[in-house]
Amino acid sequence: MRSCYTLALLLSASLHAEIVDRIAATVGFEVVTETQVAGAVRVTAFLDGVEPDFSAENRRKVLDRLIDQALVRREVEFTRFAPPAVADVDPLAKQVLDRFRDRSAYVRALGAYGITEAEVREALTWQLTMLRFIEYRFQPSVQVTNAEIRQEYRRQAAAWREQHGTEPPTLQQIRTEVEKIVRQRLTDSALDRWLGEVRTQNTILYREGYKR
Amino acid sequence: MLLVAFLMRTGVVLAAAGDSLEGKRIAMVDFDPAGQPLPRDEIERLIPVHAGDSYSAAAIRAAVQKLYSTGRYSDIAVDATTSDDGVAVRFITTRTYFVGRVASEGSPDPPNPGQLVTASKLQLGAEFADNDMQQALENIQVRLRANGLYAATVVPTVLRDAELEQIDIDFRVVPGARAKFGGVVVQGDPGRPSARIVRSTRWRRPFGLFGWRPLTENRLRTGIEHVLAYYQSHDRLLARVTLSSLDYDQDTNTVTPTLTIDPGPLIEVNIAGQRMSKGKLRQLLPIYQERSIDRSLLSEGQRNLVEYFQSQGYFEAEVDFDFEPVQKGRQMIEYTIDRGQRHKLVSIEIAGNRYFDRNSIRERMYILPASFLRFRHGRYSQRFLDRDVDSIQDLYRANGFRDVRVASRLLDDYRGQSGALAVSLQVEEGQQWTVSELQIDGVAGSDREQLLAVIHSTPGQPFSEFNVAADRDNVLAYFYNNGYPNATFDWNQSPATGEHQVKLRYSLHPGDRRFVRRVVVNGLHTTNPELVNDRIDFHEGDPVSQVRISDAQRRLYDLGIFAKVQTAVQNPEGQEESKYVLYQLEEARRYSVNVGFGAEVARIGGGVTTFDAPAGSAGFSPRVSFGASRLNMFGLGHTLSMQTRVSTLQQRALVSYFAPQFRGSDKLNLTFTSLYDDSRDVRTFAARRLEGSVQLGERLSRASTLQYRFTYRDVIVDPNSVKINQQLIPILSQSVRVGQISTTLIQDRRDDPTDARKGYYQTIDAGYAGGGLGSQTSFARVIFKNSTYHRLNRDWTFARSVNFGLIDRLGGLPDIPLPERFFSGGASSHRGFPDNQAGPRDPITGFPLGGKAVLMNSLELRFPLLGDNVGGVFFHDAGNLYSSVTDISFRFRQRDLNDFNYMVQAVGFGIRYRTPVGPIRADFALSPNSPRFFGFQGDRQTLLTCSAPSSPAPCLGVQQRISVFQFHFSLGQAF
Repeated sequence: MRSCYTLALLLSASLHAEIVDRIAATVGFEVVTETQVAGAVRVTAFLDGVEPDFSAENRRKVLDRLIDQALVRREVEFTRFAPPAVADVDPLAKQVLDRFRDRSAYVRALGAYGITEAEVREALTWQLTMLRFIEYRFQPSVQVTNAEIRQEYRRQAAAWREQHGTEPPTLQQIRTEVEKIVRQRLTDSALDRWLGEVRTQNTILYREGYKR
Repeated sequence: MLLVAFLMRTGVVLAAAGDSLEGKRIAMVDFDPAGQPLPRDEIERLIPVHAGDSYSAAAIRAAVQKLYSTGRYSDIAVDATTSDDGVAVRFITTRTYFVGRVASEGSPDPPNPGQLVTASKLQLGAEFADNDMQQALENIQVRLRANGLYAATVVPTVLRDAELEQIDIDFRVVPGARAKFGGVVVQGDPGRPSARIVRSTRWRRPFGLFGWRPLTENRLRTGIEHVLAYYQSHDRLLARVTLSSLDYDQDTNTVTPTLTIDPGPLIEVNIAGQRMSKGKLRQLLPIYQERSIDRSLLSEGQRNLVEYFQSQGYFEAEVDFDFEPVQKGRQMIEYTIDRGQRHKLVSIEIAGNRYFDRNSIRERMYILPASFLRFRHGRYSQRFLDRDVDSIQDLYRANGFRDVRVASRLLDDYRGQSGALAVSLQVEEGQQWTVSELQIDGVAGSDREQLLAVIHSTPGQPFSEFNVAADRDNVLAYFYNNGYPNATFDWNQSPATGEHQVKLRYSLHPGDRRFVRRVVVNGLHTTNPELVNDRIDFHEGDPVSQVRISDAQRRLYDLGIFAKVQTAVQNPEGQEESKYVLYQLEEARRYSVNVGFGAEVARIGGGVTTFDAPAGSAGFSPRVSFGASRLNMFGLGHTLSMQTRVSTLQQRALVSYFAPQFRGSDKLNLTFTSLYDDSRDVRTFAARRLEGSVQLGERLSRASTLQYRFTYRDVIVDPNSVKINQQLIPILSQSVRVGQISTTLIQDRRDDPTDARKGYYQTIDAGYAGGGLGSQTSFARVIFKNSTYHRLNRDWTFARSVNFGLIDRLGGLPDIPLPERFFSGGASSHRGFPDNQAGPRDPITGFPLGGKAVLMNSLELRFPLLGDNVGGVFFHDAGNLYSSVTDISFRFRQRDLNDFNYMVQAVGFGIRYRTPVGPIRADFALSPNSPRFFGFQGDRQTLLTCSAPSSPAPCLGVQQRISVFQFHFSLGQAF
């Protein structure tokens, strides 16, 4: 609070001065700044093809995601996990570009969102890194049992009957797909558990405007 | 709320504001407040935003990150103002504070101030966050309440030091009255009378006298443990005693603990096939210690039993166990033991070893063949053997034999001897791998030179991961001690062209170097700051070195005037160039007092005024001692102490003034001593000694010390106590004043001063007393002692010692006075004599006269006897005190009853019991040529008459002899 009062006094004292950046949250000695949050809101909205949502709720959500990224980035660096090559990101970048009529439309859209192509590419690179890292770090430890596959099949079958009104394919027919779903869910749970643990091991401080 | 809303809105727009500045010229970079926690030039180097640069939001973000990473800021915002000149950027910062001195006072022990400071969890040098104080107060209150101080109030006093960014906190405790136990509520189904359970807690005073005891945390815990122990003593191993609540009654200031008790089943442990004491079972079965029963613990007990029987020679012992579920409140556990035939491990054979000899391998093995007395059946079990095989393989692998194989084989009925076992170890060494090339990346210059000196895996040396790990430790230690706390070490290997060779590559990343910003010392009240500063040998600008920080801490502890020396690097994780190094000192109490009682039992008996037993008889002397010390005199770290001792043999008072680390040097110390001593420990006379001395000690090296000394003493011999020929009294026993200078060189290279196995100990002492030094007589004295210790094998040690000394009269009195002569013999010199009974004796009374030369030689063979703690010694002591250096003789036989200048021999056997303070010693000596001499029968008047020159009848002598057998009991080895 004290820092906020200081800020307010300073702001009122120099009317022409505008705050250009400040700390939104810290993870140990790592900072996440306001401009990072705003940038992430814009890039995410651009990739999702929606209007940027600068509401307090969404900014806190984006901030939490950036904090998770910071924690994962540490693990990636610690384990010396190799980042994806430029060529690996190219197809993803092309997919984004292909959503527009031509390149000039793409550049105009970037300008409208207030972001650069490099920022989009950086976001895509990070998404790919994250996906691969999760696969490398958490999937090997996931063991899928027959009971879990049968349980998931029953759930999917019930949804199928409700949606289509017909009998679903047998478990033998779609066993591989069902197992993949279960594996993915268990991997996500493992990631969530790990993030929960790492969050408790690190000092994470939210600044005014982001505290709940 | 308005402010928060404003800032939140600012968050939305600020990025847009930043975007409009992108690429514009930065006209000025400023900081608010102007006084920043980091030096301005360090900030300039740190952040990528400078006047003249183009504005970039990414650079601003990076600058915020860099500043925050230093740990010196708790919050940072950046604003910008545009003008015709460009953009003025301003960093608005809030500084971090760190924990400094934390102290507590006012609490009655327990909890003591140290416990409360620990409870606060405020760590010296760590960041002080806003909610830390609240948390600390809560933690302290918890600790106070746990010790019955429910009414205690804690008031913190906080002192902020803006310059050091440090917060000093004093917790003032007003404790109030300590609560007492007010009863015990027992819940559950205890199965025992409540009164008995309450008694076992010991919370009430014996027989209920004086009511209940006060509550302390320790008493509460031990009370519950006592209840548990009570149940266990009744075979209720699984009893559970839980403190369900501790209800406090404010009106009566009492607490009532509620204990919930589940006694659990009655556990019966039966042993089939073998008889074992209950005590041994409790020692071997972990269910008794863990208070739990499960299969893994029962299996562990099974292994322990097997090992126990194997250690007794039953190497084929088999143990099985069975347990039944709880039935009717009982659970049965049965161990079935088949110990089999008793064996003896008679031999350990090792073959195939070329690189290491047999002894080097045997030294690393735990199994042992049988030996007389010590391990009558040897020491063997399959687990020990497996461990030894692993140790041998590790030894080889550490020396480059990565493919080594060691196979073990047990040979029963060895050489046809029933029950005899032998272990055969076949070593297949394989090829030794060596380093062909070592490439070190990341360092250059003098660092590289220094590192090469601590790296083992250099070209030509054996290659092993063990050596690389050692190199890693050495390299990182080098960096950490030279200001690189974030140094990293990576390595990889690749095949070399030569056979069984590898190329090694070490990649070193020292990281940023950290320097000392300032050394901050806190907590001095009476101590001279210079005294502390002289012991801290690093200063502003030096690299931060953990070793040097710890060394200074040790030197401060060595002063003996600080109860606590805490040290920390402030903001240890912060990425700043220079760091404050903190020393938080707590001065010790200045006065200490000690009182002791004891007794001496030795050959110190015999009449004080009569002349019987000149060789002494068994006697008892009670003793009382009292001492007081005043530490840290004048704040200089000096100590004034007084020690007194009163016994029937001696009254002694010693006052000393000790200045350690004299003049700031940890190699020098200075001691002033004054002594009053009225003693009768040499039985020939009683003397009162007044002595003053000054000594300067200088440590030349880790092993060598030199002492320079001036001593002045006035010895007054009680004429009524002298038990020698009256004709000799004017010469030998008159009172004397002696002024003497002396110097002593001490060299100590023993591996263990209390029980040396190798190395040597040597002293040379030379002194001169003369008229110029205020002495009534003039003489010179030299004493030389040399002891060496030789390890014969893993357990046997040969030790030898020689002691030579002489006193030469140079002038003054006609002979060397009695108090200045050598007196020797006893447990620590020549074990063929009782204490101080060696050497020349009075021809009429037979009492020792002391010698003017000494030559003694001792040989000892030290060996293990029983287990690991009882040892034995065979010894031979030879030597004596002589009338003069020219009278030294190696002659075995005593020529006549007045001849004492011959070499007395003693052989013997001793037992040593190892303790943490050195071995307890009992020695039995046989001296075949112990001295015979004339004793005197009669009283002092008869002696005066018969010894007068005009006496018509000579004094009547009675032949006596120092006992051929001597027994000594003492602490520590003989030498």
